Amino acid sequence: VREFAASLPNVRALLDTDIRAAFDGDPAAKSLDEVVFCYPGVSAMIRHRLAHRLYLLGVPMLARIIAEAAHSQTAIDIHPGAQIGESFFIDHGTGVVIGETAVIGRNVRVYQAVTLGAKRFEMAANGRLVKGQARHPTVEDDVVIYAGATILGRITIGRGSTIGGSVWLTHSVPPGSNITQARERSDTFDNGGGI
Amino acid sequence: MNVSLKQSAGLDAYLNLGEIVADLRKLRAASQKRRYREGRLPELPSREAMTLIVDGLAAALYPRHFGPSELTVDCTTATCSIHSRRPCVPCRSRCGESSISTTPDLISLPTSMGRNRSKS
Repeated sequence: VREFAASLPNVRALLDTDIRAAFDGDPAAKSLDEVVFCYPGVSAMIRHRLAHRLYLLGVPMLARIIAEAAHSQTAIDIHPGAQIGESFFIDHGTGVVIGETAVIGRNVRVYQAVTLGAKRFEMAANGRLVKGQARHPTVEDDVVIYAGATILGRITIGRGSTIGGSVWLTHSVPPGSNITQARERSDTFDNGGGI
Repeated sequence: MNVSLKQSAGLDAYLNLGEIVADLRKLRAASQKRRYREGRLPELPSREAMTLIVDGLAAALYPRHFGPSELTVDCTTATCSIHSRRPCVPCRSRCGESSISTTPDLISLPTSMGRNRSKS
């Protein structure tokens, strides 16, 4: 408890960088106070940064209870084991999933419905799942991941990359990559066409 | 009251509640025996208590935003906390003079206060 309490100033300092990142990253944000009050991403990060401390201090169930309460409140699902650097901004947030062994650098921005998930679950000889293996992505500094992107497996998104909306990505990409996938298509809808 | 008791007794019988409760107890006992044998059951955390604590921690981190509604600007400055020798009026009325030097209350003790106080 003492160690947890002693970490609170550090948690607040980290959260201040998240709040600043939200203010700087969203033209709709009119003030820092508005960001603190109204942004589900900030609410989720307050809970995550507290829960992550508890996870590191060896009380994973308490951490998980906090994370799940935050998930209910914000629709943002961050496992307390996820390591997240300073100035992290989740805009809108609904449907975001960040897995247990994800590692996120500094100054990363993600939008709603982004998944940082696992691709496969390793099975032990006894047929049970192996627990605790690194299986989620590493996202380096200054990466932006747009809405609905699904990034799976222990892959690395290189520094400064941009991942487009709805991209399905299961391999590493080098620093500075711009990954897009879905291209719009114009179709006529006459006589049931294009449906 | 007698009527509702009677009604509920009738409902219990209709649903066969006694047997359902006994079955549930048996399943619980079997599951506990499988997991803990004859050992003592571990105490489990309370979700409700955790929510209150986390809300309190959010209030400690950002008292002006998530602190108690009676908190004024004065409350969040260096000259006031329940640890201060000069608590502001809302803190005094909320906590009472007698509790002013007791153990820290996370809701009323933003972390920056301790440091600032020594300068004032």
